Amino acid sequence: MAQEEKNVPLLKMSNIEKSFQSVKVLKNVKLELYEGKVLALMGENGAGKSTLMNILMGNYHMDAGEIELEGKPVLIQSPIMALRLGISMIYQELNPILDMTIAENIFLNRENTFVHTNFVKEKYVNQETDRLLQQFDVARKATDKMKELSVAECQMIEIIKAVSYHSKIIIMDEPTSSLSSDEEEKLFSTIRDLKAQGVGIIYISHRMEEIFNIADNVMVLRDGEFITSESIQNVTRASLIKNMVGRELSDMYPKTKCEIGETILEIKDFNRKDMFHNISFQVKKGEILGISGLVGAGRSEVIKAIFGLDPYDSGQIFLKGKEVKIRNTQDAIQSGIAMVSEDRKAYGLILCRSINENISLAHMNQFCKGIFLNQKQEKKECESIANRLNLKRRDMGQPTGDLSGGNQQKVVIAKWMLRQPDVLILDEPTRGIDVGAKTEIYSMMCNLASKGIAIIMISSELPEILGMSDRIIVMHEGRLTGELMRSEATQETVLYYALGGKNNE
Amino acid sequence: MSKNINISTIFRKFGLVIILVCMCILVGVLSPSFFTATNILNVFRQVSMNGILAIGMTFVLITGNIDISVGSLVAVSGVIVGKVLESISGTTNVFPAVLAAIIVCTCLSLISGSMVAFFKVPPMIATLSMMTIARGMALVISNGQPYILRSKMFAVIGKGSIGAFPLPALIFIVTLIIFWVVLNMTTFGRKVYAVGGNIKAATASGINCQRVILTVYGLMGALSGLSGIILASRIGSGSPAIAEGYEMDAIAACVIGGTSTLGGTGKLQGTLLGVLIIGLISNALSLLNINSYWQQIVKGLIIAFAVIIDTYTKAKRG
Amino acid sequence: MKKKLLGVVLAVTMVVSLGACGKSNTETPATEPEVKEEAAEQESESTPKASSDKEIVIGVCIKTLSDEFPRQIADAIENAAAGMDNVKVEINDAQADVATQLEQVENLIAKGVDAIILNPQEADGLNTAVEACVAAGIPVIECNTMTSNEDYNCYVGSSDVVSGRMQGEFIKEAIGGKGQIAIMEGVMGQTGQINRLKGVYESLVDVCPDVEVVAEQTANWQRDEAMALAENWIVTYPELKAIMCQNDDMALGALEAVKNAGKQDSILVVGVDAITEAVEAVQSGELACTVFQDAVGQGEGALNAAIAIVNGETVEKTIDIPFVLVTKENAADYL
Repeated sequence: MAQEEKNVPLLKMSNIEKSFQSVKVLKNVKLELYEGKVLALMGENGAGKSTLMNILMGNYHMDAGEIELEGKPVLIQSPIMALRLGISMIYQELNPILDMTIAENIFLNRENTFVHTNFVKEKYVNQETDRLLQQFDVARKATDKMKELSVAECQMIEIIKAVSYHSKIIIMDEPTSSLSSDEEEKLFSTIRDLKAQGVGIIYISHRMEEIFNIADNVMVLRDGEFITSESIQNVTRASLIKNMVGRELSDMYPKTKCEIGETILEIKDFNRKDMFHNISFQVKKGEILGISGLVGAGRSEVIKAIFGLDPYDSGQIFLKGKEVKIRNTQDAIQSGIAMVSEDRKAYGLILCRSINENISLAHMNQFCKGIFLNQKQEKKECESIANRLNLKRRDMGQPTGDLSGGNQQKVVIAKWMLRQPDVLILDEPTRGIDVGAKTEIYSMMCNLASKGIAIIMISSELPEILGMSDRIIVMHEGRLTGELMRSEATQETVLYYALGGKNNE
Repeated sequence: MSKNINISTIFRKFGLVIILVCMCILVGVLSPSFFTATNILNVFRQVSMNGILAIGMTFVLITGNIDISVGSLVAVSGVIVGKVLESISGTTNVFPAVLAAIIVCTCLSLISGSMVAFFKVPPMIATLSMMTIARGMALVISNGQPYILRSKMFAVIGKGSIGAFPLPALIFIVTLIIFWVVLNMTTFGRKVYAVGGNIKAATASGINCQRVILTVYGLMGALSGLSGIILASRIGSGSPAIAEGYEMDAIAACVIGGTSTLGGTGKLQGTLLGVLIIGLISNALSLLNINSYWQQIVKGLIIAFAVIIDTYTKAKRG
Repeated sequence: MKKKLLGVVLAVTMVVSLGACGKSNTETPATEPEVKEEAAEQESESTPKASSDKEIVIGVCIKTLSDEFPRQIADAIENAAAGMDNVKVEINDAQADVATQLEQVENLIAKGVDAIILNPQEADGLNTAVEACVAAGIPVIECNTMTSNEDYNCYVGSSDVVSGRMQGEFIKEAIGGKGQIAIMEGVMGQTGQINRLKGVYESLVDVCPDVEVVAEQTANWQRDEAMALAENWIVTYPELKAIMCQNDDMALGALEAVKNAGKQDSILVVGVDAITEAVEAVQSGELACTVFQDAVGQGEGALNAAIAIVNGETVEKTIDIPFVLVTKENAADYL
C-alpha cells in the first residue's frame, strides 16, 4: 500500500463538489485509482456514487474540484470526451437498441474503427464482435438481434462493449445485478485479465461477496461525503457496513422463527412450453419459501403465470385446498395472491402518479362509497401503511418517480399490504436497493410471515436466499431440481442444484 | 430569492389563467365590443362543441391513446340526426334522433377502441381508419347532400338559452362537471390515470386495462355524438362534409391545458382553459379583423407560445 | 320456396342494376358503341377531316365527381352527348388530384380522341396537360375554370368576377350606396375567393365612397365557421348593413347568426351558387339573394364548342355563360 502511494495514480479526483438546486450532493469528495487495481465504490443509494461517476463520465459538470489523469489535469465535458480520454462505463440501466445486431450495438458510432471511411465495413465489425463474444463465452453470433437476448446477455454485451473501447479506466455500475453466478465468474475473470493489462476499474456494487472477491481497495461515500478509502485486507464486512450506514448492523438477515401452519398455496404440474415443466410446490402459512436458480431458469415465468400476468399451458393452482382458476391478475388478486415484480419500474409503479394513488391502486374498491372514492379514508390508510414501512417522502401526493429505489420498493410492497394477502410473491425484492433499506425489507418480510402470510421469494443473491428462507426450492432450465430445508441449505448445495444436479443422485 | 420562488410558483400553478386573462385584457382594450355580454356568451356558445370533444379527448390522451376520428364522428352524428328526423318528420319528438346519433357514434368509437385494446393497433392508425370510415358513412347515409333540419324542437338544443345563458354552453359545463367528478372522484378515473401512466403496472395491480381503454373510447364516441348534435342544431343542417379538422382543435385544447400526449397526466380544468384560449383566439381574430392570411399564423403561434410557457414553467420545478 | 327464390333473384337484379346505375355515368357510353367506333376509325384513316356524319370522340376530364357543381357539368355534357347520335364522350374523374388528371389527359391523347374538354383541378398544375394536347394537335376546351397556360382553343365558363359584381350591384341598390358591409371569403388563395372579391370591389366598394368594408375574413366555405364569424361581427359592428358571402353554405351559416340575433330586418345576407336550401331561403325572404351559376349551360357550351372545333368551325376564344341573380322574384324558377 505504501508503494502505491508513491506511484502517480491513474485517476485522481479531488475536492469534488456538486449541488442540485442548492442541495449539496457531493461535498469535498476525493478518489484515487491506480493502474491494474479494482476500486470498489460503496455507499447506500443516494450517497453520491452515481453522481460522482457521472461527473467522471462528463454527464454532469462539477461545481468545483479537479480531475487528473496520470498526473495531468483534465476537463471532461461530455461522455465522448471521457471515451476519448480512455474512460468508459457500464451503466446500471441498460439501453440497447433492440432492433440492431450485437455487432452494431457494440460498435455503435465507431463503425469506422477498422477502416477509415464512413462506409460501415460489416465484415470486419462482425469478425471482431465474434472474437469478443468468444472471448467472453457468450453463445451468440455477431448478427443476432439485441431483442433476442436475455437481460443477462444484454449485460454481458454491455460489458464487452466497455472492454472493446480499450479504455484505461472502466467504471462498472452494478454489473452483476442481472447475471447468473456463472456469468458473474466470467465477468470476474475478465476483470482479472483487465487488471493484468493495467486497466483501472471502479466497481460499484451492493453485494459484499463480490467486493471481497474482486476489489483491491474499498472507498465509502455517505451522504455525499468521503468517509474512507482502504485496502481490502483492512476491512471487514461489519466495518464496511458500519461505514456505509453510519451505524452498526448487528444482523443483515433478521430472520425470526415463526409458526408455520397449514398449506396455503399449492401448485401442481405447472407447464408452459419452452419455459417451465412439471413444476409442483406448496407454501405454508407463515413460511418464507425461497426460489433459487440461475437467471433464465424460469423462476419469474412460473410466478408470473401463478399471478395471471403470463399464460400457462397446464397445471392446477390450489388455494387453501380449493382449486382456483387464474386467468388474469384480477383473479389472482381476488384469490388473495399479491406479487412484487423484479422490475418495479415496469410492473410495480406508475412513476408519474402519487404515492397515494400507487398504494391504493390494487384495492380501490375498498374505499368505494357508491361509485365515488372516499379519498379521505384512502389517504388515511395509505399514510398509516407508509408510516409503518418508514417510507421517506415529502408528502403522499409526491410522484413515485421522485423516490429512491428503496422507497419505491416500499411503495410497491405497501400496495399489497392495504389488504393483507394470503400469499405474497416477491421477485428479487432487494435488487438495486441500499443496505439500510434492504434490512428494513427483510424485517418487514418476517413481520408479514408472523402474521400468517405465506411468502415466496425469488432471489439471485445466495446469502439472501439462505438468510431469509425457511425452505428453498431450486430451479434449473425450467425444472425443479431440488428442495432444501433451512437447516440443510448451504451455498454449495443450492448451487449444486441450480447448476442442474438431480434430487436423487 | 423567496419572492422569486413565489412568483414562479404562482405562474406555474396559474400560468394558463394568467395567459387567458392577459389575452382578454389585450383584446378588450383593442376592441370595445369584446367585453359585451353578447360577445362573451357568443364565445361560450362557440367553444361548447370543441369543449365537449376536448373533454373526451382528455380522457383518451390520459390513457396514452389518441383519437383523430372525432371530426368525422361529429359529421356522422349530424347526418344521423338528419336521417332520423326526416324519417319521423311530423312529430316534434326529437329524442329518437338524438339518441340514435349518440348510439351510432358510441358504437363506431367502440370499434376503434377494440382495435386499440384487443388487437393492439396503434391508436393513431386505428382512429385514422375510423376517421375515413366514418366520413364515408356520413357521405353514404346522406348521399352527399346535407339534410336541412327544420324541426323547431331540435333547433332549441343549439340555439336556445336559459335566461341569457346559451344552452350549448350549459350542456358543455354540465358535461364538464360530470366528467370532472368521474375523473377525480371515482375509481374509474384513477384507473384511467393508471392505464396511461404505466399499463403494465396497472395490469399487475389487477386493473382490466382493456376495459378501461374501451370505455374511454366509448365515452369519446358519445361525446362526439353530443357535439355533433349541438353543431347540427346550431347551423340547422346535418352535413357530411362538416367538422373536418375538429380533432386537431380538441387535441390542441388538451395539450395547451397541460395534458401529456404520453399519457398518465392531465386535468380537465386545464382542458377548460385550453378550450377557452382556442375559442378566444378565433373570437379575437375576427373582432380585431385580422387579415385572413395572417389568422392561421397567429393561431399557430399563440398555441405554440402557450404550450412552451406551460412546459417551461413546469420543467423548472424538476 | 319459390317465393324465396324469387326474392333472391330480385335482390340480385337490384344490386346489379344499382351497380349499373352507379357506373352508367362514366362507362356505359364508353362501351356501348364499340362496334361503331371501329368502323369510324377505319373511315377516319381515309378522311382525316371529320364530317358531320362521322362519330366524334371527346375526352372529358372533370376535377372531381364528388362535388356537386363539377358533377352537374359532367351530367350536362353526358346528357347533351346522348342526344346526338354521332358524338361519344368519355368522362374521367380526377378525384381532385392534379397528377391523376394529368395522367388521364395523357391517356386520352394516346388514345387519339378528337378533342378534350378539361375542367382543371388547378390553374398552374395542368399547364403541362395543355402543352401536351397542343403538341399532339388535339383541341382543348376548358370548362368552368381556366389554366394559366392560355394555349387552349376555347374557354367556356362564367367569370367569378361577374358573380361578385352581381352581388355588389344588388347590395349597392339595396343599401342605397352607403353603410357598413362585411365580406366573408372562401378558402384563401383559391380563384373563386380572389375573383369574387374583385367583383365586389369593382361594383360596390370602389364606386361607393360611403360604403365601408368593416370586416373581410375567411370562413373557408364552411357553414359552422361562417356562423361563428357572423356572430362575432354582429357584436362588433352594430351598424352592419350587409354580409356578403362568397358561397351559399357560408351565407346560410351567417343567416342563422343574423336570425338568432334578431337582426333580420337590418342585415342583408347574400350568397353565390343557388343551392336548393339557399334558393328556398331566398324565396322565403330570409336570404337577400344568391347567384345562379349555370352548370348545364357550361357543360353544353363546352361540348358544342368542342364539336364545332372538331368540325373545323371557328369559335370564340372565350365563351361566357352568364350568371343569373336569384332574388325573391325569380327564386321559384331555380327550385
